[in-house]
Amino acid sequence: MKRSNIESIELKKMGFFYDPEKKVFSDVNFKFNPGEILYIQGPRGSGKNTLFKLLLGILSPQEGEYLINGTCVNDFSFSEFDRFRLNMGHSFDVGGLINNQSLYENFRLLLDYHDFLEPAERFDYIVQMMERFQLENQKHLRPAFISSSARKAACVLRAFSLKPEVVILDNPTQGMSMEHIPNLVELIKEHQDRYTLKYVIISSDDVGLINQLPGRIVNVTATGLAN
Amino acid sequence: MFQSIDQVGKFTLDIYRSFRDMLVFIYLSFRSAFNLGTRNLRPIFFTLLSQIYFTGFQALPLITFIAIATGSIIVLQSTAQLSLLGSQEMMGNILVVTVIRELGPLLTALIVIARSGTAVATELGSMQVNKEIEALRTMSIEPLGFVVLPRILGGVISLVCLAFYFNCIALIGGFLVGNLVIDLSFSFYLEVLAQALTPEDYSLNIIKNSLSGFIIFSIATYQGMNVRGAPHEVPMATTRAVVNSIMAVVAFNLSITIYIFARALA
Repeated sequence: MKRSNIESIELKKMGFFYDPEKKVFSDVNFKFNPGEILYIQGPRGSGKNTLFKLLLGILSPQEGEYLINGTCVNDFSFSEFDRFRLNMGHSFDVGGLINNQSLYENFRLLLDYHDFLEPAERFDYIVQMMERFQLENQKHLRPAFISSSARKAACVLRAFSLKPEVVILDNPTQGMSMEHIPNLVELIKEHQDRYTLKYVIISSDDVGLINQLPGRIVNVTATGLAN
Repeated sequence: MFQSIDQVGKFTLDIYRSFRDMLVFIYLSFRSAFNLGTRNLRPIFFTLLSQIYFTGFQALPLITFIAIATGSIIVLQSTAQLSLLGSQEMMGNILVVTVIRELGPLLTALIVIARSGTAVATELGSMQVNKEIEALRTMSIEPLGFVVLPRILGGVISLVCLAFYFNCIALIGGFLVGNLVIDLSFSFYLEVLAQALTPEDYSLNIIKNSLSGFIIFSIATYQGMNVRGAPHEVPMATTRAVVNSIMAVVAFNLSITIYIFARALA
């Protein structure tokens, strides 16, 4: 697996639109600080999901610059962006698990496709990860046959499976069982302390989570990310 | 009057745009195979095998039933009619022309559209709705290379094999029923078939079936991937996939037949 370290992430005068008449973002300047936990907030339709897609290189800004390690990545193709994307984990607000595969296969696909770890180590690694959210007993079940809380936990957990430097979590506690929230906090802290996690970007207004895992709160507006 | 002309123009432009977009989609799907680089190809190979299993292997009982019925009907009907003319040796030609050149490829393609074209369009449409395709992208797994390409290739391989199987079973079934009902002898049956079959029949069969498979699965994957996120779009995409596939496959088979016929006349 070939991936590049992410030392800095910055948006410079970034603009994006689906319809030129109605811009989602215009002239956005923002620097993401390593080591910081960033809570992104804003009303529905304010552009949080679009911002995540831009950061993950699924969409490209039409104006300004999206800089990673000082290099403008606006014109990177999907495969050129891979070296950064492989250092980014993402979990969805709703859905996102592959429904015709078991929970174990959902994790295994990512490790197999990108050749992460030795094949013999992958099973134990996945089971160990699942134990954190007590998912190991359901590992051979497909997402449709487990509770929505377990689906949510699996989706969040999968974001950490390649030990990324950036995690982008979309409403991670919404629909997650209350007993799992301390596990999530512990997971983030462990990846910050023991592994290479530098940037934690969370879309959430869950006060309980923010109290347990304090961070900077920014609001998404059409002209930027305001503290 | 101008309104009617406008509508015809809009309809033509819509067809042109859909066709152009589909060609781009197919091109990008095949191009994605060259971007796989150092990726582990095992998961992609597994998707390809799964597609062959669902489209090819699981369709065998239905194909067997329809092939036996087709072969039997043609043998019984042609024997009855040809005996009136006293030219039963023509039965081989009729079998080769109807089963191997025409009905085999067409019926197999229609069965595959009904069983697998619908399944692929529905599956990919649901994957779009459940954000599975978007999830693959965020995991750096290119959906065109991981989801679309193995399904098209698996579909082509399955259809070629199924059509070959259909031809064999139709000919065997035709003989068994013919032997049972009108005491058709095996040596006579084999002789007339051997005289009627030409090497061109084999190559034509492979070309027809592989291109039909390509058409069916390109349309099904394109329609499935074009679902934009609302669940009600899934059945609409499936219907479009079936209607467009049937029209395209029938038109393709008809044009090949016309071409062969015109060439024979010339």
